[in-house]
Amino acid sequence: MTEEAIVMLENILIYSTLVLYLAATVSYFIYVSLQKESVGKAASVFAMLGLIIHTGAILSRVFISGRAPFINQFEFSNSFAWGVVLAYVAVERLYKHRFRAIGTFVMPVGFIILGYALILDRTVRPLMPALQSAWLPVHVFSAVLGYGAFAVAAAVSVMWILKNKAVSAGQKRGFVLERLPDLNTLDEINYKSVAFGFLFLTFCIITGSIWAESAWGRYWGWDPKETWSLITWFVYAVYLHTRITSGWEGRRSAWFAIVGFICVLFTFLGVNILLPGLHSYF
Amino acid sequence: MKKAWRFLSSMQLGIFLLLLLAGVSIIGTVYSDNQQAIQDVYASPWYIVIMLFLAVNLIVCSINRFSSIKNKVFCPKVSAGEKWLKNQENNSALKLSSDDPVTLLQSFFRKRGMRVITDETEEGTVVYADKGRFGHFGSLITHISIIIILIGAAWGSIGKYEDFRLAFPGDVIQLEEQGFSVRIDDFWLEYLDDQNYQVDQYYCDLTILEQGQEISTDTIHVNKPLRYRGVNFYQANFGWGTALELNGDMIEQPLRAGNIYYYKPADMHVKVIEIYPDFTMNYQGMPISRSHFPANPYVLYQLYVSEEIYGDNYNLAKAGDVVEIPLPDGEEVLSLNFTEPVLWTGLQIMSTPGTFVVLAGAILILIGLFLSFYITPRRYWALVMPNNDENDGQAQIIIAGNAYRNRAAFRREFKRLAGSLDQISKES
Repeated sequence: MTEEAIVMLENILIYSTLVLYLAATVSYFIYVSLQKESVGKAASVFAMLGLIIHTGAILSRVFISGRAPFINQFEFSNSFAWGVVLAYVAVERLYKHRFRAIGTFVMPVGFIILGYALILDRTVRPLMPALQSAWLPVHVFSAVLGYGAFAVAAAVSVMWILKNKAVSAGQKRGFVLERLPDLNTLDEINYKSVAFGFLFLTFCIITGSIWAESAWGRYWGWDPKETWSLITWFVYAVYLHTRITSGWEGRRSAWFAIVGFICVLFTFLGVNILLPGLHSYF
Repeated sequence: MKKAWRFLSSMQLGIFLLLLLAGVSIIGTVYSDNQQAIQDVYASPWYIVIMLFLAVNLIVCSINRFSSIKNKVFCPKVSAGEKWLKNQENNSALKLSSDDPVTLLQSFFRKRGMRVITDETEEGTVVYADKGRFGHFGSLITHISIIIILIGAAWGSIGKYEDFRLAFPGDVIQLEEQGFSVRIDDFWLEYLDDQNYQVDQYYCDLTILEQGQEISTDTIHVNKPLRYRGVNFYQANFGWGTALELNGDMIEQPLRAGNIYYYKPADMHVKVIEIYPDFTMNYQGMPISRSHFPANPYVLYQLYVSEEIYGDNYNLAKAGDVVEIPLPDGEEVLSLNFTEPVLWTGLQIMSTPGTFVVLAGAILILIGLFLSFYITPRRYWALVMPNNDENDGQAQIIIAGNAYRNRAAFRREFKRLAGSLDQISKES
């Protein structure tokens, strides 16, 4: 296959993914509204199919470029969207498809990030000297996994807050009350996702530092992306501690997980748009 | 005193400090394009004080919790009475038809990968089993690892040595304090293709010299530094210089953009403005270089005599062309030749002590986090009541269990385990 043919294949696959993620999002919404199991099953199929095709799109890029798909804003955003959907599909399966309502809140995130990625420059560029390192795939892939988990945690936190509002208002019936999973389950998924995300975020920061030392001469330079990843780390560290102090366990966790994800988004996007630095090529 | 200790070890203090650090760090990122301002925030007394408090908080908290954690792991509470067991959240009463219920229970737990400790008490034999006990060390190891990282980082900032040198092949960089020198033997570029000559990577051959003796030679490139006696040499960047021949004599050092050479015999300064290895004019008529491949090298220069501009404001000379310059005295002619472009290498020289300490702390924190999240300590007690004839050959067992983390999952695990025991008792 010629390079042009593979580029065309990548385009077909990635737009198909966008369509499938949209189909999944819409189906999850319909499922939650109508409570029809068949619609829910279709939604899960769309999400999984989308993920598989998305993986194909990413692999075709790997094939053309001969390296990991992580070096510019498009490639990372694309991988981030993939990571979010992967995290969701994993969580749905781990809980044996009992809580498909979560898809209503996570799939839109994956869809939007992919949509954003598609407006960026997609040209396959060769690796700059500083990016020629075995640490590149390790460091960035751990970010993809960590961020995906944090996205799920944030989505589940939003659901927790909505449900808690309904419960504490003394509601006995209602859309939110009946369609969303119970508070304990949401809180448990929140915690487990943050734990996974935190482990990978820590690993990402550490591998980034090791790489920075061999490339730039220092393992920490307070570069905006480095600093914001640390700020994100601090926020989730506080999250983990507030869960030990009793009392508002569910509510504090939910808010911190949302704030944490906002920090993730800022680290991913805000830094590149608003603050320059050594990291600014992606 | 005790109050102060308790305050310093409190988690609330830790949470407060983390949030404070986050907030101050955000302020620092606003100054991201000003390197000096960045240092002013993160190296400021404020930041250091907050870090110090955090370190103290971690140390005190770790000291406080150390013995109770150690005991949970190495000296578990094995004995348990009927009343205590029935009070536990997860408990169950069973009957086992077996002549040796104690051995049955021991192998039952051992088959599940648990550590088993048996104890004789007044109320009967207790078979204690636990799993994942090292998970208790998770948070302790995580906190200690952060202390280690802070110590390593502090050591690094205090003893840091940092320098940046530009050098041409042949130059020797002396490091007096460290007691050795580095000679640049060669520097070259590798290109991606033969059309655009985009630079793929740049390489530098370095030889370490100690008191004139060659110790070793290495090739470095971006991402592959040279490390010698705690000093690291990083390939940072590069640029172009040009050789210059005046009246047939080569000047000693190549000139970089902005460098000026003083030719005394004519009181003339030759100033190199810019070097274009692959010269062309852009659509606005400005000189540019298409690539870093010396396909068409040109030099833009100025001449000064007695410190006043001599001749045109800007002169372009093709590398290798001899330019005949009539001197002000009207008789002599200076022949000037920018013979060829020469690459210079930009080396970042850094020595950061304590890096290995930070790395050790980093590995430890990953271990600590893994233990905290994925190794869940849980324990079971099975009290085998002494045999009464009433029980017609069946042993009365009270079983209880707890896990202080992830209780919901443990409840399910306990139910399954009690169910399995029940199955075994029915089968035997």
